[in-house]
Parts: sequence; C-alpha cells; structure tokens
Amino acid sequence: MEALRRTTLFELHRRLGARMTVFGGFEMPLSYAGIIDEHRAVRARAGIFDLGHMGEFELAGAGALALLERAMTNSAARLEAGRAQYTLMCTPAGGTIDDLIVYRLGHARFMLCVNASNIAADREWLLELGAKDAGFRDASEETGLVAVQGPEAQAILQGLSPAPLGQMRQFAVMEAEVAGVRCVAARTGYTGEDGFELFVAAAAAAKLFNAILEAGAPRAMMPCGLGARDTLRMEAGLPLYGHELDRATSPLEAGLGMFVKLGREFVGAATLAAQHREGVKRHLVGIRTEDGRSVARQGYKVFPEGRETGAEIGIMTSGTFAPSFNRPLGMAYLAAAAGAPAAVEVEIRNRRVGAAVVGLPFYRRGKPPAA
Amino acid sequence: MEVPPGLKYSKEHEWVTAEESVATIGITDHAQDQLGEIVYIELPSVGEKISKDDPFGVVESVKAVSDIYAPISGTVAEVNEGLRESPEVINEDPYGDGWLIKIRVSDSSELDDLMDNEEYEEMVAKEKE
Repeated sequence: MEALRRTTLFELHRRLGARMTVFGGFEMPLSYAGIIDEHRAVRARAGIFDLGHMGEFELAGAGALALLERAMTNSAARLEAGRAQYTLMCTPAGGTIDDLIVYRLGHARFMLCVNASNIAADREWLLELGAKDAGFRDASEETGLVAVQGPEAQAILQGLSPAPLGQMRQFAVMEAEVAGVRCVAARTGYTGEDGFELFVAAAAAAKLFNAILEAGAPRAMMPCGLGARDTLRMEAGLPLYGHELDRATSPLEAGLGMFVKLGREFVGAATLAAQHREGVKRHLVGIRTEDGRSVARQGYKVFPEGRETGAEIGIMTSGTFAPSFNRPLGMAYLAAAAGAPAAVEVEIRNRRVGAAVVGLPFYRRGKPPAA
Repeated sequence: MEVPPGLKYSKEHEWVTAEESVATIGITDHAQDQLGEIVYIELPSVGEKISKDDPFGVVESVKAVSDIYAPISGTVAEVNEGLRESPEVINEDPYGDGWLIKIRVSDSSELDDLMDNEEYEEMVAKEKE
C-alpha cells in the first residue's frame, strides 16, 4: 500500500483541531468544529476548504483542444478563454473514468481539475490518448487548492484582492492575486453555493489559507472538512466519483446528459449515443426515507413498495444526514424497468424502511429547503 | 479523552457500571468522538434480552453507522427514551445523560472479562498508533 500523502496545510489543520480522515490516498480534514455546524456555515455565511488533494493537469499548445475534444464528453471547443466547464471522461464502453472541470485559461492553455483518487488513472488514460503531443503536464504535486464557499465568499475574498473577483460569473476563471498570493481564481465549487476555488502553488497555500481565515473571521466563516463537503454536495445533487460514478456507470445514467455533447467524435460517443437513443437501463434519483431518521447509505438495496418478496430494483449510492433539511437524504440508481415509482422501500439492517423517490437536486441556492 | 475510573470498559468501546444487579451501559467518550455528531439511535425495548458481544443497538452519525455491542448479558430494564429526540446528548455527555440502557445482569462474572479505565486507556492509545 502506498504511504498516505498530506497537503502543505496538514500542520495548520492540526492546529485548528481538525479530525483527520483518509480520502483518495490523502490524510485530509474530516471536520473541525463538527460537520453540521460547518455545513450550516457554508449555507448561511461561508466556509473555507483545503482541497490540495485534488489533481491538476495542464494542457497547452496546438494539440490541447483536440485532445480534450476527443477525451471528454462535454465540448471544450465551446469554451471561451476565461471560462470553465464540468465534463466527464469515458471509456469506449461509456463508463466513467472521471468527472472533472476543464478551465480554459488562454486560447490554447487549459487546466484540468480531477479527483484525487483518479490522478494516476486519468494521467495514464490521457497519455494513452496522446496527451504528450498536447503539452500535458501533471501539476498535482506542486499545486494547492483552497475553496471558499457560501453567500459571503465573494465579500471575504474581494477584500483581499485587487482583481474584480466580484464581477466574475459562475464558471469564470482568471489569474488573480489574493492576499498577495498569485492564484488561478475560479467561480466554481462543489457545495451548491456561490463560491470560489483558488489554485495556488502548494508552497503558498498556507499563507493564502491563513489570510482568508483571518479575513473571514468577522463573518464567522468556518474551516470546513470533507465531511461537510460531502453533505453539501449530496444536498446539491452533485455526483461523487466512487458513489454515483464509476467505470460501470455512464454519465447519462447519472443524469448528466447536459454535459454530454453528442454528434462529435469522442471516446464513448457511440455507446452514449445508443443509450441516448434507446434510453438508459437505470437512472439516478433522490431518496427520502419517510421515518425521517433512518439513513439509507451507499450499497443498501432498494425494493418496490409493499412487496415482501422479489428482487431489488435499485441500490443506494450515497446517503447521509442532510443538515439543511434536518433529516437523512440519499441518492440511488433505480432500474428503468421498475418504471417511475413515487415510493420505494430501502433495506436498512434487515428492515424495510419506506422512502419517497424525489427529483434531484434536493437543494437549490436561493430556494428554501422543502424536502 | 475522558475515561472515568469506576466503570468497566469493553473492547468495542462501551462502558458499563460495575454493578451486580442492574447495570447501566453507554458508549465511551472516545467512541462518540470517533463517530462524530450522532443523529439517530436504535435501542432495544424493555424486556428484551441482550447477549454479551452481540449487537443490541445502532448508532448513526452524519458520516457512519455503527453497531453497539453488549459488554455483558442481561434483560433490558430501562431505555434512555430522551435519546430518540436528542441523540446528540451522547456526544455531549457520554457517561452521564447520554447513557443508553439499563439491564438486569444475568451473569455478573462477565464483568471480570472487561477492562478497567487504565486498561481501556492503554488499548485506545495502542489503536491510535
């Protein structure tokens, strides 16, 4: 087994009293003050996250766009310089290798932000597709990432930067100085809130993190761990690789069709086009256990309502207590053959618990939680 | 980590009052700390029998679900009903208001298999290594 890795902020997390966990081969903060308080801070005010475990790849030169067009389900050709897009990388069979964000930093200059657990696999796959001729460089080791998320993220960061961060649109990206540290600032995130992600030299990440902590203190911004990141993304219906996505799952099954631009030649296009034509065999839904207490977690089986016998019709991919709703919520794949049931049962520790099938996302910014 | 003397501890991180007739059972400070914020608890009903080393309940935190194991055998005499509405009390006061159940002890010799506070502290320290 490979040794656990740490970001340059590890000692700072220790001093802030973080409880650590292992994720994607990294020893990362799970929480500081508590998952629920951190979650609520991001929804109501702001939170800051160390995401230094995420991977960053650079592509540059004449071959860069062609490689992205071939490797990704979304079309990077539609991307203007200074904009970013969510995209997926598929196998020829349409399974998902990774989901990621592509940032177009210049006309022929791109940055990819990939999942920590997939850095090696993504790199190998892209090199196999000819990334060497597209100026590929794996910058994961020397790149840190600090996210500031929540309705007050803009106010907190604007006070630290001469760049017009506040004028950036969603999915905009620009090079900026924040707290005197050069970064690539993007208006992206994984929480369902407004916010920024700041890519920075790993060696400068602690300086940036500390300056933002200080600037955010008067607004009761909280340092947040991966625990809150997971509950926030789950409420926002955002997939997590290894839960909603894997090599056996297509983006269309995950409800990510708007990030699959068919009619182009990309890896997996034929399979995905067929799925699009014929319909997927299973699809991702929201699951709300009706007792308001039982957490239907990843791997739990989903059955039709009111039937003691018979095979399962689906499986949970994520499930957690959802702090914005004060009850457990989850996501599951349901077989298309089961139709579109409004209610199902989840097997939780040998017991069937009634659950409603609801649309995703559970949480949309600016709308009061209703689930 | 708080490990009060006078209690007996199991390797599954439960505590039990070392009484011979009716014993109170809970989870340790270390256990609640590892679980994080507890949002739901499942406990047996009064009159149910529980057996040493078998799960008798379930504790659900934001991030994980864990079985609670019986440190000794007995019959449930009382359940901490307040936890159904306020399971976070287990985080706040694991050895006090966060107690889980009281049982009529069926074999008090089972208490001898459990650890005292110093032995338990030592075990947790080893687990952390």
